[in-house]
Amino acid sequence: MTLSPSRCLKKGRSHFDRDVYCIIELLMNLPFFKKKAKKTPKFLTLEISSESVRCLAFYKEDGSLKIIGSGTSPLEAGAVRNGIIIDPGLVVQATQEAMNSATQNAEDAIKNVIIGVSSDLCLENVTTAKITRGSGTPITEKEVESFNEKIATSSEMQAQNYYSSLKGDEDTELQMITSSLVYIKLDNELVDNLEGKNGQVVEMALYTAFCPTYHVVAIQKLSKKLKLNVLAISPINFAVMKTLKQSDMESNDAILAQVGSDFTNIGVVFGGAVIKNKSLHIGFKHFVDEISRIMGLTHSEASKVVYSHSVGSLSASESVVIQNCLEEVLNIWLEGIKLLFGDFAGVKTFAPHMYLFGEGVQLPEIEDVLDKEPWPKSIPFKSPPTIKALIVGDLAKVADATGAVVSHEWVPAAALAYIYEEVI
Amino acid sequence: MTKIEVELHEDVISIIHKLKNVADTGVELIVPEGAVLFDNILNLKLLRNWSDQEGKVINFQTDDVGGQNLLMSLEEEASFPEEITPENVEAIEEEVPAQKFAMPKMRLTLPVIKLKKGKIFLVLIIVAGLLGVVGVVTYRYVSRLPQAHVKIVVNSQPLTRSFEIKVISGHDTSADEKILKGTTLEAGLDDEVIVETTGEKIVGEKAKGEITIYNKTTEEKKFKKGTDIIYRDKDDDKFVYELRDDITVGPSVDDPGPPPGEIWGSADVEVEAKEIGKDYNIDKGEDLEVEDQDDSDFVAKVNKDIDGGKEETIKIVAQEDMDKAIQTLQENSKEKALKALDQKITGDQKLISGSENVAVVKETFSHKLGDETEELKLSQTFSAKCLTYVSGDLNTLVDTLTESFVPEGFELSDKERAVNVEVLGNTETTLLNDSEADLQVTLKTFVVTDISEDSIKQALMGLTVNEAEKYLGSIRNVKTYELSINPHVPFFDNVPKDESRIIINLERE
Repeated sequence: MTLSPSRCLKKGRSHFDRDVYCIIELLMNLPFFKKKAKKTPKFLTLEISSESVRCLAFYKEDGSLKIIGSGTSPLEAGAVRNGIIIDPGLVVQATQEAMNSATQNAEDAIKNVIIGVSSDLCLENVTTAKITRGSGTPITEKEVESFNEKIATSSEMQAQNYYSSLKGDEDTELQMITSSLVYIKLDNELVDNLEGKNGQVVEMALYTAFCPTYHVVAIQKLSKKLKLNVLAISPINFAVMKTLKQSDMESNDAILAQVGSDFTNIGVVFGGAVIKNKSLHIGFKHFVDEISRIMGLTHSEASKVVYSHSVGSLSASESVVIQNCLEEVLNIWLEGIKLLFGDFAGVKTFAPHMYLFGEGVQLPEIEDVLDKEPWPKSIPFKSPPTIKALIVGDLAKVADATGAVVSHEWVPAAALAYIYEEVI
Repeated sequence: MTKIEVELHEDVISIIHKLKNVADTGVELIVPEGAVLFDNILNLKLLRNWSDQEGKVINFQTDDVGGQNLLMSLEEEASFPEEITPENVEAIEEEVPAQKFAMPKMRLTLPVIKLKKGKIFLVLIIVAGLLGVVGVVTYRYVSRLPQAHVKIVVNSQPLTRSFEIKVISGHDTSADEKILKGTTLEAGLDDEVIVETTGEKIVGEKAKGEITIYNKTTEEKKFKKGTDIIYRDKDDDKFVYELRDDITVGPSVDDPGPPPGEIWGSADVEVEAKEIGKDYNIDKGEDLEVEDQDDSDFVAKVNKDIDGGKEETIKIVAQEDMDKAIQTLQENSKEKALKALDQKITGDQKLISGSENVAVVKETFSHKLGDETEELKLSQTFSAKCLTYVSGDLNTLVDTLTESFVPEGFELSDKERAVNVEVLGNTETTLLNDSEADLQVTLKTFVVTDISEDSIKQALMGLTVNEAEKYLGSIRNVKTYELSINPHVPFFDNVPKDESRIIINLERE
């Protein structure tokens, strides 16, 4: 089932309101989201990666989003691959455990949830359309709907083509999960809405995020089994962009780099929206696997070693061993990153502000290698990139009342909380 | 071309690892339907990028339709600007003129031998004999000519282990306790230093002379030895002398005259300046005072020059000089002592950096504090100690500690083995001194299939090629092998029976 975004682009709403309603309407029109969201200030955010399920419990208080509980539950290998739920049973079990842990101190059950979709699974795009009107009369509602229809159809076609070129698969059905107007121009002037205005040339830019329909169905089943009330499904990049926009950090032109458990996704941001994102299927898990392989440790043991390394509790010589283990895979990863940037056809120059987040960022070598190696030389950055690894503390509105949500890997789940303000 | 079967869940990193272990430049990847590799075209681009860098050619074989589409789009994307076109070929041909080869022309003239009929038989026998000899010699030569070249590629796996061990002097090596036998080395050194003294002292003579004391009173007066006599110069500076003997000065008496007056009692006595120095030299006739006596009662006058007073400044040993000597000697000699220690380290012994300790066991100064001298000599005997271990012992200990991590059928490789030793220093939990030290030892090596070249040679001797291949194929954990017998001599295609002509080249994966 594919939804048209035209319904969400209604008259009389500001550009920012439309982001909100767009998400709500799209989601609420899905049959499994028909339940009315209870207006309680408590809600959950869920991030499902191939290594684990992370859950945060929030309490919205005045202007801040307070973390009141956190839970993480590891997933067995193969249960989730590149964000796709392969074994729903294991994912349901892990999600339940993560939720139990996150809500153990909550007085009542929290059922409202915002679920993140891995950047790797989302095809994000900004579609621009320029329409020259023949008439000199004010723009009508019907005309606006027609514009919306055209641009939505165009973005869907782009997404389908891109998916096909990426996966070699033309049959998988895609579903739009988020859309947001980036800007509307009438005769080259920015306007909030079109209806009732006079002008000849209409230019619209629409951000859309598509993901395979089977994944939406999988989330539907998951939420049904866990008796959850899904407030929104949001691309992780979209949520992170929301946090950047409400901070002092550069959010107009930037690069988002999510180093997930089994992928690295690069999102190119121009004009405050992700215009395109691409993934490399090398992530945190591969770094751990490499340590496991070379040091003869199990994956779980290697994960513990990596954790100790990331918090700096290993001796200098042990850290050297870890660094040696990672050297080769880091080189391959960096080659992949270069290829990834080279794959963004049409991007003439990349913005120099690069934000890192996700599980992989807990490895200090990731930031180091991006910061020190001469990899950007072959990529048309506007100026040498500045790398910033986001932490939960960077999310201005989020206040961690538990003291347990500090490391980089919690950023996606914490960023999803910003969507709550949009949907309630 | 080497064929590699990719597993369904194998990702691009794992495939690159596999490809790295293939010596062949051409590789065929057999990818099953639904393989993770085809999840993203970037995987294929990364593989292509890697293979270009490594100079390998990768061919794909797959039934996965999506994968085939990706491979096709990848092929379409690739461009070949340097593709050889007919025009290019023509250009190349023009640059390299064709070469003609011709054999040198030779003409052989054979001698003509004329034989008598009776001798033909004899000649035939001789020729047959010669041919026989040539045949035997040729057989012996040819049969020794072929060599069997066996290249065996054995499986290997990287192995990295890090241990914290303790080196204790005099303790036996114990893998259970993670203790390595250490030895405390000691070296002695005698050294000396001479410093110029900086202390100063004033020495000299006291001025001496004779004075006359006058008594203006009517009473006789006794002055004891040591009574102070004072001289004031024109600047009113005060110089003190003392009487060298007891003296009695008679009373003043009336002088009836004419004219009538008084005659003061007087007495001569020797005096000596209380301090050294030429300033105490005064001439005859100078007036003096008697300590604690009023001028109206007693006065004195120099009646023989008070002279002989002199002074000079001389160098003596100061505490600073002694400190300086100690400091200078220790600075210079610590290095010498450590060098002396270094020379004691032999062969396989390794010094644990930071365990060195240099101490002074004997110290002698040429002069005492305050002694008059221009130079002060300090002689010290140093004892330098350090903790050492033997590399061989460390390797043995590391091997023992690593044993349990070596899979069955494998052994630790001697090649590409790196043992990194880091001294942990003195902390709350670790020690570093000349008798005990904590080390972090990291072994980075490979484990390779445990096979013996000699036993393979023994087993191969005299086998046919088929038998040899069968044997090589049966060896455990051998990844690939190649067998060739060169040069190929008809009837001599077995593996030589001579061990020295079986060349085995063992390569790790």
